[in-house]
Amino acid sequence: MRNRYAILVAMLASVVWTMSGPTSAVARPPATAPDSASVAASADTVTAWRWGPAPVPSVANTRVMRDRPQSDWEAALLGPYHLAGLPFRALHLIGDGTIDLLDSVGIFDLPPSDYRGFPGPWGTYVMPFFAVESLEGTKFGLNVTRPYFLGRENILFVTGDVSTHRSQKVGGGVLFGLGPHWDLQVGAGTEEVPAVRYYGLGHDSSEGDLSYYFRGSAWAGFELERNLGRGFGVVLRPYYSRLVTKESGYRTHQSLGKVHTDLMPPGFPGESAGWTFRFSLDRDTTGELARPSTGEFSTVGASPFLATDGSGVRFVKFHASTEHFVPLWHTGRTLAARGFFSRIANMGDEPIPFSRLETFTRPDVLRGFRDLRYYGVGSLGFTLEYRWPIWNARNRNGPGVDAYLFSDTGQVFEKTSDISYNNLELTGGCGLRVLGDGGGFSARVELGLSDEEPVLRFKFSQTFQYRPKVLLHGKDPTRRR
Amino acid sequence: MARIRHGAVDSIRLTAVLAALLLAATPGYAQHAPLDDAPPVWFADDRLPVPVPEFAEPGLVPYAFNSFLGRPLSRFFHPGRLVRNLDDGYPGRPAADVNCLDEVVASSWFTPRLGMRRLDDRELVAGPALDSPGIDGPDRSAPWRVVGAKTAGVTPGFRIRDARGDTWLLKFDPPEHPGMTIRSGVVTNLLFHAMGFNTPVDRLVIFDRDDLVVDEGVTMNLGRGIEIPLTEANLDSVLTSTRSVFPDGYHALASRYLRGVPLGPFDDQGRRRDDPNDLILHQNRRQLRALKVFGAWVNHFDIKMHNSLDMYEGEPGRGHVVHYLIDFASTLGSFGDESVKRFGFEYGVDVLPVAGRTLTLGLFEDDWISQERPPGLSEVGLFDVAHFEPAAWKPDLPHSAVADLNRADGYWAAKIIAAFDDRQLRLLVEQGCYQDASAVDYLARTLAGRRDKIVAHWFDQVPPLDYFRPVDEGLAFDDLAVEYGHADPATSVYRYRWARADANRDTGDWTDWRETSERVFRLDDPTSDHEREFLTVEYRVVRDGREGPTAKVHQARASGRIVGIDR
Repeated sequence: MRNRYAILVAMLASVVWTMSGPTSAVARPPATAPDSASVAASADTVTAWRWGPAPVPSVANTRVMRDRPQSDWEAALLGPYHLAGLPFRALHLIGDGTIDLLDSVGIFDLPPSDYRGFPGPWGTYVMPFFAVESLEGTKFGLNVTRPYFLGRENILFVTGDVSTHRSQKVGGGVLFGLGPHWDLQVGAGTEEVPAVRYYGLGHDSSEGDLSYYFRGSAWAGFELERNLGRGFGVVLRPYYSRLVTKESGYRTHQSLGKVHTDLMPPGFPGESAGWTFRFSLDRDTTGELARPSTGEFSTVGASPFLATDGSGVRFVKFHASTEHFVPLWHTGRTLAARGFFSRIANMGDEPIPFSRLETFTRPDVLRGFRDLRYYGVGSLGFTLEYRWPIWNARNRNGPGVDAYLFSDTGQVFEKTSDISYNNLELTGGCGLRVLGDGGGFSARVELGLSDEEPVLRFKFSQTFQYRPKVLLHGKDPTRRR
Repeated sequence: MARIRHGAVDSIRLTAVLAALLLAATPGYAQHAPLDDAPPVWFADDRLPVPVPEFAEPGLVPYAFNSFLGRPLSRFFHPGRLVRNLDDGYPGRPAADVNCLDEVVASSWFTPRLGMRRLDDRELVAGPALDSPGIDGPDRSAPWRVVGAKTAGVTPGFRIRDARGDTWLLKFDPPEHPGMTIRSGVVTNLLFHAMGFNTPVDRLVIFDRDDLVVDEGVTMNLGRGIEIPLTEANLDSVLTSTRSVFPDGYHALASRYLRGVPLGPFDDQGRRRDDPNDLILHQNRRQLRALKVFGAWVNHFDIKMHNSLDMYEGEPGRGHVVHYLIDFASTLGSFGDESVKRFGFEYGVDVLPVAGRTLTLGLFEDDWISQERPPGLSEVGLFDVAHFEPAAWKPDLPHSAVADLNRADGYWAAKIIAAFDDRQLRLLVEQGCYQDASAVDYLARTLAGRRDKIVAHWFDQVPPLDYFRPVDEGLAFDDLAVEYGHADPATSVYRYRWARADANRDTGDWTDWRETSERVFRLDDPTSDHEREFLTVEYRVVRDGREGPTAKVHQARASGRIVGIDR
């Protein structure tokens, strides 16, 4: 077939056409278009186009091309379609307008940065945020990061927020990079939460005894971290803290004093102040921040506390946790296992204020229950989490979303003999983990189920590989491991 | 299992089609234009003088938001698309920029080239630079003057002006993959030009440091709105950072600035309202719909609107808009800083695969995960034949025109791709100046393999019989599957029947089905129906005993012209 082509004719025709241009000025010689009739009339003619001689623009073969008219049946169906779609179109317009607005102020044009936020004054990065927390309500806040603070390796971080439930927090710290092996954090802050949950002490507290109290805290201290190599590190964190608990001015009908009139927890209402000297040995061989498929993430530590408020309270909190990651059948499928154990040994004669007792809070949680569901002098738990990637912006190990199923089992205890299979609480659930650029963890949304009310969480922290960076990030160290 | 599903789908299709018929009593369901005994149209009259339209370029994020959410939802619930989809599996309306022979007409968007006619090697290799002085890239009679620079983005680049006064953009590879994107950009530019698209002149250039001099007052954009003066010293540092240094000098892709007034990219949906010549919704343009097939071939996953450009050509008020595709760097498996296996297999946000993975708890793995780059070929990315499925290919962002591709569009694109022979593919790949001859071998072989898969798929969707012409005995035709070596003529049989038809395609009595292994439908006048002025032949191809789909060709009885093909 191809040998029927005449290259020369084609080229000449295309050159003529290119030079003349198929414009609307069609006052050219009449058509010698590749008309099948003409092909039939000259079967032996060497043709240039597959359909015949190369055409030259003419009135006969040039036309204004338009969309074909819509069929009657389609036109009839489109009326109801447009009518029913009005609300969705309105929603879309709102979304579209919002995106356009953000685009017009250049938000999407910001180049990637090592630090979250918009460039602010004095070399800072400013990141507004909001969060929905079960205790604090909806929080609105601002994080300010200042790299190169008093030195190339140093970072200043300041955070502040207020919430719809009248909680407020101001905190911050400085990370001093002291070379390849040492890090030093100093930090301080204060936080008030008007409605903290309390159900009672021990593993047999009842969901129906839910109450609320006010918790205020203030802290200051430093943390020295030494990288020992091979994944090992030691951390020393001395800090001073002051805790105030009292009746809540919020949700007063369910205040702790009203619900637990007959059995008020030790130290309520009251104040507890003192020094904590936390020492821990860590081991991290995971290599990845958010989606490890192998390795171990473990810590063991002790935290002696000495009261300075004249109460004579002294105790030592022991804590150990270990996490292991096992790769499964396909890329990104991982089984994550975690166990933890905490125990407070009272070294004095005074009861330990309940605000310093063990409770289920990040990262030692039973996710089928609300945070702070149980208080005791000790806690233990075991978690299995199966993860698999469901969406990746680029590759399996990049930004994306993983789904997971989990099972958390554990209990709090007042004395070691309380630890029993019958007292273990079993919870489970599922969730989605959002992983950001560079594979770092961004957020998770999960549904926890137990024999109590289902719990829906949206968090910016992860249960595994929990790295509080407490003082630097202005977090209350009395509520963190 | 498959039988049950097909049965259910068939029932749904039947119900939906019946409902649509009942609802609207549908004359002209197929939306074909009436038959007309006239010469075919080959040129769109879309170069009327118009005022210079406004420059417009929506941000990438708003466009992506629309492409991922608004437009797919709108398409999903569109009743017309739903009915068409249930009827034959393709939701789009028939393309509007085609003539009665089912060919895309020449326009400011497209010029029929390979497939419609033969291109010699010189024309193939020259691409858009044919017979222009830019065929060898920027003029080298004097050093290139650097008139602009940027370091923001994935790769740095320079704007240079040559001795002829042409402005070129010098683009480099991401430092992680020297020699990858610039070469694929050049090769795919030539492929797309040969297919018929308007493209800029993109050339692989090799130069020394001495070939560049910095103009006075030139600044360098560092991103975040920061600009610093460009000096010879920091030109050196930028060049070093590109890692595009090869034994014979720096390698870069030189893209010549298009002549005329830039108007911003064209959208894949809707029309440019301020261009009176733009009368066809872009999603109804076959050459844009066919980007699914062309894009699949070279894995041009990045066919977003921002990789297109409208140019106003001519004196203001006396010119018109010409539509270009630009930037083909992310093709042939090339990528920026990271090889992404998903590209070509899923949209950036693809609801169904995500839902599938969620519900199946990660027990199953996607096939495309097992892709690997060819070992030892640093200039080649993720590009193979084994994982390639033409029908399943997807761009990174959903594309409105691609979403409306139908079987006739796909077949048209496939026959253009089929027209590239192995030697031509190798010749075009060589224009990328690959340092490793094995890379040329691999890419040419892979392009040929993917071409064959595309042809096998789309030539199976419609009977690949084309270029009908009247002969004494009836109607002769070419079997493109046989012609391009994708089918054995010995096992190919053509079944056909014919009937008289009027301009609305209403036929009289059909003859019985006949079979032939010759490429001629032998037609004798079956009836004394003299009122109907057209003859309609319905045909299908039987290969190796398997019967394919059906199509129709219409012939005017008076003139013998082919006046319509319904695929």
